[in-house]
Amino acid sequence: MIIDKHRRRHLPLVLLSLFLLFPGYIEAQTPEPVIGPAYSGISFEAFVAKAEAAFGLRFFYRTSETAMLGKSVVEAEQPLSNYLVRWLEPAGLYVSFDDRGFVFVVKGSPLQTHLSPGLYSSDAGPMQADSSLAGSEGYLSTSSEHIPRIITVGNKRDGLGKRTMTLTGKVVDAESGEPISRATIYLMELNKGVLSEEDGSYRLTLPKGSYTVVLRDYNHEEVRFTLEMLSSGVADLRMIEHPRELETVEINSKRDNQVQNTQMGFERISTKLVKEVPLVLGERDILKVATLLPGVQSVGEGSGGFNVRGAPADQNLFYLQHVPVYNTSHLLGFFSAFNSDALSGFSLYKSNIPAEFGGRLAAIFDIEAKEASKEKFQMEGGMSPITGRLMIGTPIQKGKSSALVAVRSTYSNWILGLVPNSNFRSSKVYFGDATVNLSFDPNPKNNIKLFGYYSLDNIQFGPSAYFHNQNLGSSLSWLHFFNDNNDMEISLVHSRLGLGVENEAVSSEAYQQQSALFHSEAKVAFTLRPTDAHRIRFGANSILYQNDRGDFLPLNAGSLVSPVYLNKEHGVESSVFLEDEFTVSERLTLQGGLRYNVYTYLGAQDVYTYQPGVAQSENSIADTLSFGKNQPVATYQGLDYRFSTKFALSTNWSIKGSFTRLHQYLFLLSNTIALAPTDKWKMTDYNIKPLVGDQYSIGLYTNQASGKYQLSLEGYVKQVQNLVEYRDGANLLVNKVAEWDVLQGNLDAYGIEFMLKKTTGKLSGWFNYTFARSIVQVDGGQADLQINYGKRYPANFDRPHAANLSLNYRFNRRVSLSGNAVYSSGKPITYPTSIYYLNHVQLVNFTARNEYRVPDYFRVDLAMNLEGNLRAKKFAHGSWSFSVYNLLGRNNVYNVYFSAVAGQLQGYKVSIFGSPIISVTYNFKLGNYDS
Amino acid sequence: MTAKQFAWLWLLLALLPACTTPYLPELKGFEDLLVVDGSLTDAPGPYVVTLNISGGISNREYLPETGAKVYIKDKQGAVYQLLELRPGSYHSDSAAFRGEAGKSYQLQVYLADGRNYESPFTQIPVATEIDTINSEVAYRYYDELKQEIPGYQFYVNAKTAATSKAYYLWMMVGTYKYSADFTLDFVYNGVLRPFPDPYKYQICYRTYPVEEFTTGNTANLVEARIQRKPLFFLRGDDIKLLKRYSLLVRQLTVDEATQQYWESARQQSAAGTSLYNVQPYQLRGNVVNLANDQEIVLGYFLVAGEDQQRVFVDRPTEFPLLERPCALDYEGYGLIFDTEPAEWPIYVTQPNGGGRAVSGRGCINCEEKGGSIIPPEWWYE
Repeated sequence: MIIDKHRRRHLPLVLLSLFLLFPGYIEAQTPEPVIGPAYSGISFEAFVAKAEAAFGLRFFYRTSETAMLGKSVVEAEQPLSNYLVRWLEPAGLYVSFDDRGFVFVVKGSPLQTHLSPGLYSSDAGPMQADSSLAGSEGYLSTSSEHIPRIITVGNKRDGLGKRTMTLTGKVVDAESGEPISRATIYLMELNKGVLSEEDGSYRLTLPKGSYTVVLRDYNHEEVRFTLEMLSSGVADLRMIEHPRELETVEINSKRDNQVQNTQMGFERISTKLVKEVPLVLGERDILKVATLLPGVQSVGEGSGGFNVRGAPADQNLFYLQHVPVYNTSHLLGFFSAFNSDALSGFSLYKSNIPAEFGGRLAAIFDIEAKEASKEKFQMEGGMSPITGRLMIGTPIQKGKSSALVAVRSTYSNWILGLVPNSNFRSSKVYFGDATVNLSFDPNPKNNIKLFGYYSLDNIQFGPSAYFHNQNLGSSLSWLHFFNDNNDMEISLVHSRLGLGVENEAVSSEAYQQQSALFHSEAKVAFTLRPTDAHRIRFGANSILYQNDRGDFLPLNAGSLVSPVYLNKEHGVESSVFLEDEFTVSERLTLQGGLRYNVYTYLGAQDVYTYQPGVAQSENSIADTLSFGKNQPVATYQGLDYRFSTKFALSTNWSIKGSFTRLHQYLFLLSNTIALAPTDKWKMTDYNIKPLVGDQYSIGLYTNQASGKYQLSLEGYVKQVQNLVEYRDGANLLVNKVAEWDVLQGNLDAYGIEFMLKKTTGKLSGWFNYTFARSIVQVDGGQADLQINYGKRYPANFDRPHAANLSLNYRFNRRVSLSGNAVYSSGKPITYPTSIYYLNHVQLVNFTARNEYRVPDYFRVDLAMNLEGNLRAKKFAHGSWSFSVYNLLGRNNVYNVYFSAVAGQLQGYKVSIFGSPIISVTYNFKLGNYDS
Repeated sequence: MTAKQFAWLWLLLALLPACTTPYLPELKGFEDLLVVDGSLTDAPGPYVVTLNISGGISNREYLPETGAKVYIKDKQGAVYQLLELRPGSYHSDSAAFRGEAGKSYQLQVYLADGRNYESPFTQIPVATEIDTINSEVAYRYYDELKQEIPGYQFYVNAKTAATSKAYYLWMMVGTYKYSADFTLDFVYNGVLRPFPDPYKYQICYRTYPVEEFTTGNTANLVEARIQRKPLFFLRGDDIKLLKRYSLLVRQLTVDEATQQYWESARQQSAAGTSLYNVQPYQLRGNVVNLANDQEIVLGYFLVAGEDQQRVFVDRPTEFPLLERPCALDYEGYGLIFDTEPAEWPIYVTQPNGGGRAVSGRGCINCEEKGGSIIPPEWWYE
């Protein structure tokens, strides 16, 4: 970390050190260079040239600052450092040496530089080789940067008579200069901390004095230093990327200090972490890691979609760099639709979702796209049994703009050719995705990003069925800083989800259906920090939905299928939001947010009204209402509100509580066990009401052993009204009038989540346990308005017990071993209880809905990662990952079904991965291990 | 792509480690539920309604509901009683009563214990005629065999329906000609006697209900005409295709609710390996307890317009020869004289006039496999 008082960002990195506020004395080095009268009577430049030549030193200074110096006067032999101090100090210049022979000359206030012993905590790895200064005073030298131990901000004169002062600045990566968002800047004495913003900026108000500051980020080495606040000022804080990601496996939430912030139910996962997690078929999958977190369950093994805190998968919203992604998986859910090379990580909000997000009840996955370095060219890629991938990042104008392109594609259908079944041999499977991310910094106050995303799936099954799905999305965003305290972000977003089905299994019934969902959004958000106690975020957004539900059409001339024209839906969801985080005292922080939504379902539409009190069906239509183009058909308004509070019991313990009410206007038409590729989105309309969700949470948090161990316990209660459930046997493919096939009911969910993390050391990882229930009730008062006779039943994703253990052990920089153990209760299932015959055909009578459960799920995975050699100078670096998924080969039950065999009803269980799956992946990148 | 195909494709992607293994969960038990299985069409009767109690999933015991009073009532008030000819099986008198298209009927059931049930009045729709029944040689992949099996795929082509939205249910009855492997040369009944006509029990005909049905409708078709609707796949390695096979297709024209019920029933009976299965659920029929509408009554009283057509197929020459399970037991012949009367008669064959042997009973006398040596009157070669 380096203090850049003058915020001159475009100087070479080392030169930036010049602007450090260094002390006026020089470190004693052995052997100390000694100069004599030969150095007398020359200009500073000449002096420097001579000293550099004689002692192998290298000086850094600004000529503008040394121009005023007179000629040197060296009367006797003396240490170089002593003379430099004497010569330069009167001119207000301070000099410092480092162990590599760099000499920094800088103008500014004096800075004390005694070392904090905590900085030398490193006991292994690359630090050691470089830590010859250990025990000395002055500066910590790392492989790439120099970090002062004491930072003095401002000067005594400016600070006279002032009690509180403001410290602002940015947290940036020392190597790339990229801003580091959500780093924690924590003042131990004040028991107070702030997080850096998306652009790395931070702001602290604090009394005059001396503080111990801990600077943390999951990707970077922790930094501790002493801060001397003399008056208000600016300090940019630099952090060094952790060269051994998993030695301090920050698999933890990134909002690092869980004890101090107000966020609950929050997790952050970085792409770096994903590098170490065992893989299925060698594909890195950042989203799959989410299922190892408390309260997040996969819909099914290898299926797309998550159930977060007992909610259906369509209550989650995935944002990728502002672009909503409606289909998050490739190949029926086997892989996630995101190339981890193009991502830096994601944040998962499952409790008090910030007010700037809306439209989903359960969770927001805010996925961050990786931005290319503006300083150097980057390339990386890899090969797995299924795909090849490549990511290229390059500066466009050095220091100002950059471009990143990442592509991934399947390269073969070879697996299908191995199968002795003509259906498979004539099948083809293809998927791919591409990401483009352009970033421009025209000046320090503005950042413009242009982002594009495309994913594609083409599946041909046998000679007669085709599926092709695409996601296309783009966003343009402009981030503007008014000053250090206030900023604004404007974004324009467009995305399209396309689903296509063609089927000619029965030639006279050959059909095709192409559906598409368009999402166009404009959003503006402001962040204000009027005082240190308040952080206010407000703004507005508006979304235009266009949902072409897909006409059901004959596939060819031979088909007798009559076209069914499903309606094209239009709707606008607009919101304004305001959120304030108010730090009442050192112990108490309050956060409140309001979001007012107006949703209008637009024409042209013909809608039915129904006789009251009976099931909505063709037989109960009372009237047909016709609405013209863009005429409002139905308007729903809702106020989302959330409130949360944190109370610190001590430096290491806090309790938090929150309440959230949210509205949702889109849902997924699905009545299958797993998420099926044919599931389609539907907008709430004249007859189907918006979903409303409430959640209450309470939690206890503690960090122990200086944050090495993090413990949290959270409980929640959720209620969802107007949950959409399907009537038995509904036809969703040509479901022309949705309300004829659905009923709306209530979902009640509650649970407790326990999480223990170890964040540092050779062994790191986490353990979590969740108890959760999710119960549905659909009772419209009479038989045809009920499901399960109106009685409560467990939701399809109700799994009361879940526990995950995820560990990583790093033997050395080149070899690490990681493993997962995953347990959960079996999912609910409806079993047959009796058999009977109709016209000699054996039929089965089933239990009440979801009355039974499939057997419990348990899985162990193991992975070993081997890095290539650690030579510093190399063109490219490679690494291998060897993974075993389901090491125990356990036949975890995906589903149980029954089939009549010779008149006898036989039960079967289906397992997706009935044996261990071994995979090997090779990854490469330009540069060395640390690049 | 069917859901099942999709599932297998999915499984394939996992490099085929996926597996399906037998599994029987522990169930808390089952309820004794009334099952009503009856039908009324405009074809000649007798119409049969069976009443029984549902069994547990591994309990195939038939529990008839006897002593009930069963009536079919038309909307004009006329009532026809069905008589219990076999336990739990109630039959109409075909001479006295025949359903008429356009008229509405209802089933009424009065159990001996006092519980009363009825179905709603349902009109017999005008039956759509069958145009043709086709059969084609096809191959079907069987997961359990891990190979494709040749066989006949039957299709139905219906004539244009009287209404634009017609709903159908197809039920089938099969009849097949088959042979015993060996001649019946001697019969042992305590005494071994030569059998006068060794070829008498060589060829049999057996009629059986096809344990499948299918449904369809013209609601989504431009023209109210069903074409090439797949009905049923007859495996070529089945004894039913040993020589010659006849399929009788009953095309039942029903109302929408009836088709939906039977389609749901079909899906539930065929519920299989698909990962994208529709959730199974309790299927309620159209018969309700008037006093307690929460009582679950299984089954359906089917009211339909009916047309029938029959088709014959022979075993294609390209099909591989059927493996016959019959074997000759020459040593066993020596043991027949020690047998008890309960085991008699014992059939003995003497292939090619050589040594005498015994074999499976059905291997020598085809009627032992459930058929009859008398061909049905409509059978032709």
